[in-house]
Amino acid sequence: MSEVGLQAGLYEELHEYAELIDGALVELKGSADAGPKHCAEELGAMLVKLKTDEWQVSPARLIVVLLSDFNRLRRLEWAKVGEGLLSGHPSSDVITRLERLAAVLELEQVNVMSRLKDL
Amino acid sequence: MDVYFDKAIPQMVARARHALDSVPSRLSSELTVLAQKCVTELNSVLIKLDRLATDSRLCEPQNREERLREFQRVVRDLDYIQNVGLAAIERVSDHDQRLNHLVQHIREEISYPLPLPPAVTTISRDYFYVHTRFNFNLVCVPPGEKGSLLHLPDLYHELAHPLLRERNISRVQPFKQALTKVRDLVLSHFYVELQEQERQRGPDVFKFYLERWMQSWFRFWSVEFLCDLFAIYTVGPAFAWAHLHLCAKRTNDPFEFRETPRDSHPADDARMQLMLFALDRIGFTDEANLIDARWQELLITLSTNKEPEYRRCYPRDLIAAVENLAFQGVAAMNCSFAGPGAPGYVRGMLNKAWYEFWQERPSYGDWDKEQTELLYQYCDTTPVGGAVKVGFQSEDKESLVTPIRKTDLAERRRPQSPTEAEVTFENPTAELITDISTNINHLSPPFTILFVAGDRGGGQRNQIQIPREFDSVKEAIRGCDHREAFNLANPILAATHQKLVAAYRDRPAILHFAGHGDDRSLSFISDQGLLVSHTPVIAEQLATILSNFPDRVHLCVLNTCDSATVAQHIVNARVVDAAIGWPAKLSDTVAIAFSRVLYGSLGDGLTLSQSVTLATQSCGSDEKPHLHTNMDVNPNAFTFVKRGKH
Repeated sequence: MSEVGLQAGLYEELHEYAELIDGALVELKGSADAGPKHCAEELGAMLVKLKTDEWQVSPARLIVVLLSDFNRLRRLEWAKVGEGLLSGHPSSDVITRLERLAAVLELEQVNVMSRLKDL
Repeated sequence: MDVYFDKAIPQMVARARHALDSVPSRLSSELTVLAQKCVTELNSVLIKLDRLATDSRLCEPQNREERLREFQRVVRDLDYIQNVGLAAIERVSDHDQRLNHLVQHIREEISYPLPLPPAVTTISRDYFYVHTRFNFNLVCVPPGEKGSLLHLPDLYHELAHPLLRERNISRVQPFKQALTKVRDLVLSHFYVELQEQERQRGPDVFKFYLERWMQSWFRFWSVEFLCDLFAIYTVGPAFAWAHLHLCAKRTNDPFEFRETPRDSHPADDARMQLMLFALDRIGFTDEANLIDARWQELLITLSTNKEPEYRRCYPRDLIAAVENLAFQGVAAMNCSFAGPGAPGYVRGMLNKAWYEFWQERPSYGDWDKEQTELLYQYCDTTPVGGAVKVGFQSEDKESLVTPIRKTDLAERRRPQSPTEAEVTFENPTAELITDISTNINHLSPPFTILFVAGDRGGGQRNQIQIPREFDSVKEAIRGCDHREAFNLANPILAATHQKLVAAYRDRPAILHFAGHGDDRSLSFISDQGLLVSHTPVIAEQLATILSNFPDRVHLCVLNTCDSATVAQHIVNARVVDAAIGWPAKLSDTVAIAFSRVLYGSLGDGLTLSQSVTLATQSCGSDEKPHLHTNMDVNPNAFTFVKRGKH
């Protein structure tokens, strides 16, 4: 009955994604020659796998599960975000979607942490 | 915001430094490990705070949102380190130390894969849990549970959580891979279900449930199931008993699948079924049967039933696949399994406690208190890995090396030349079983009998024989003492797989199969439009169908030729309590006579064994049916109704 263990495990996963997405956003919002874009590349590579039939084994599947974006079209949209990140010149739409995702992850982390404190 | 950051970040730096200064230096080995992790993480917090203050890209105006979110994450980390890790270190007590010694022995016995010891504290306000963030691996035990053996098996479950959070140690990778595979399987399974649901355009509520189940399985239940299984494999039946104990104390609905307060724990019944699978696998079938019987007793007392959707949430095949993957994962970590005969003083003691719990004695509590103290003494004074045992007599140690098994007891108490029946009744554990089975079959009447025939009677002979057999059952029930306790459902004639699958709606307690054609084969009709044929019923197929019935079928009468192996299979698969089958050919005359007397006797309150014997004798034939029953059902005590007129 380790509620704390379960919630803490989820928090850790959310935390990792949140750091990665915020890292990518900082890289993308800076000037084009501001330096390497490791986070954006890592995130992009993860997201493009969502368009394959093996999306269930993609590391980005937590995002699909978290947002209930099981519909194929929604997954393809996330894969396009990944392609935008890998292109090195993502559109403003890509950045907007990532910002929304970062906000969802932040909210979810706060929820999980408050559940941890309640236990 | 820049001004705010200029003020707030130095304040958090000061707080983190103060926390670092407060870490005590004199600690036990387990708490030293925890303290070291706190120091490492506090230093990491300081590095992140420094980056928040000085990183030029992060400090650019367009990145304020990201900077604020990062700041909040760092604050949450600092809170966690202080409120969890450092709090446990500051509040350490003598009880904590004893539990730490106990866990050290458990680690040694089960060959725990992590090299550094987890720490244990008694600061839990609720139940057992473990803090795995930052690899703290801090096991929290409720103060009230440290003085009893009954819930200490839960420690084994908590020890599994850190294995799934560990990143780099190669020995735990198979277990982590098992989790990944379980999650893959879960997503694939429910995604297919979801697509099917969308294709059928059914009610949105089902789509909602499927998505929710997929999320819960993925995020929480997979982890919880794997930790349950780790506990079963390493401590044995004691963990399943502890689960039953906890559910009896706290659960209202073990089949909950719609709403749970936090959605994080799978249904208690699903967890129990998984544990029983695992116990069977590692050789504790006898114990699994006992636990299952007590579990059924609890379910009856709770008056809850599985709804059909429950099976969609926890498909039996998926549960079995999870158990299979977990077994491979734990085995590949080279942990010491708790099979019968496996060494392990602590786990032997924890299993013995549950054996003693079910014995008839004036006070289990006194025994428990005394033995708990002796266990702690043993762990306090015996070096980990040492062979010296303090505080126990040698015969105790011998009995504790191996968890007590029913068959062991049976052998000790067995008379010199017993018959099988004598062994059954002279074995105290068997008495326990009898007691349980008595309770199991005292279900609330009416009991529905569902008559299933493979053919409507197309041939000249069958037009007469199938209705005759049904009539014999109907007349027997009408003429028995407890006719009001039985309800004969509308028969399924010309049965197809689809019709049998839908038969759960009749909630049958007894399923009666009549044969098809001249050889009375156990078969179904396959209707393919113009072409109608019949296909034999495969035992596995029947077991799968019956296992998914929301209400358990207690007795299955296979009144068909060569059906004994099918009867045995469905009993072994534990999908019915008892089944009757015929080992060879069966004539219509015998089948009809047998049915009439069998149902008449059961309806008069005779035991299952008596009813089958009388029904067999009434046939006046050499053909004799086989009666198969579960381990937890004593055919000499099993009745649907108590004998005598109302």
